[in-house]
Amino acid sequence: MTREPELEELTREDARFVEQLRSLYGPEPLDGARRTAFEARLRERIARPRWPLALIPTFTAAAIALVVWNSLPGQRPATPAPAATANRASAAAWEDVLFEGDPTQEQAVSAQDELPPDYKAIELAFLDGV
Amino acid sequence: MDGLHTESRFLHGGVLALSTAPAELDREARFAAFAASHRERALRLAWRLVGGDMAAAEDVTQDALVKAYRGLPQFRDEAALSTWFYRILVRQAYSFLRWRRVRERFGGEVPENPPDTAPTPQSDPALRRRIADALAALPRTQRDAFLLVHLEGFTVNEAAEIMGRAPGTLKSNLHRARMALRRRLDDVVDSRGESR
Repeated sequence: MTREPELEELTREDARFVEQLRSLYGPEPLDGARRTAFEARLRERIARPRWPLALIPTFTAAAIALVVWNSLPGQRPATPAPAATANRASAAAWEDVLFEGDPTQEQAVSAQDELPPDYKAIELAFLDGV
Repeated sequence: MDGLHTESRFLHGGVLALSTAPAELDREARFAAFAASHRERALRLAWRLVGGDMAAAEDVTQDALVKAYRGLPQFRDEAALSTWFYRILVRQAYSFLRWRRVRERFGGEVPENPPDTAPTPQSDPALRRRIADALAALPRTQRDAFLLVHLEGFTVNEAAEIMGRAPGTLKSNLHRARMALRRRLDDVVDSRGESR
């Protein structure tokens, strides 16, 4: 930690220039009160817990994993319709079938199962041909 | 002696004395001695690096000392710890300067020439500002080399280790820095030298 070997290589003018600059450009040493305050603040900073810093790698890793997962093509399962919407749609379809009748179902029934003539007569008499 | 006093203050200050494990006590004693022996030099170097602002120099030195405390268990050799500490200190100083520039640009609350709360009696503010400007005008490697070797008294090899440069490169930087500073400041420094 000596500077003599480096200064020995300097010319006399350079050495004088450096020496003067050193004396002109430097702070005063800390006085007693300021040194005490400095040490107290240093102790306080050292004692301060570091947990937020320790969590930074964890949060960073989680964020990176999320980004990578979202950027993978075709790896995610198809997003199902929200349950409330699906229930509402199926309920609406059930109402249609109940009150309006399913045309395809109705057509299939009428094509396959023709009522016998006596039942047709009963239908005409009591149900007005519904 | 100063180291022993500081160590005693640290150990009985209440905060660090909370840990009773021998390894922790050893760490605290080592740190107390380290801080005591490097505090003044670190403050001086930080003050010169940040352009003569004592409050900023204290912040920078504190940041570096806190990092040194946390990195202490990784270093058995005091010389390696010291080199590492000053490397951190230089980085912290430049980090501070970068943030100050950002705040100046976007916040505007930082004065261009921060007042020195501990002015030196042997130099007037205008002269200090002129020297600070001349140093700030140097390329960073030249400025660091000049401050570390000529103003702080590190050897070329120590400064080269702190800066992560080859000693030959550092010597060349030193020479260039001296030439540039003499061109800018020769009148001021010489006239003051003659007047003494």
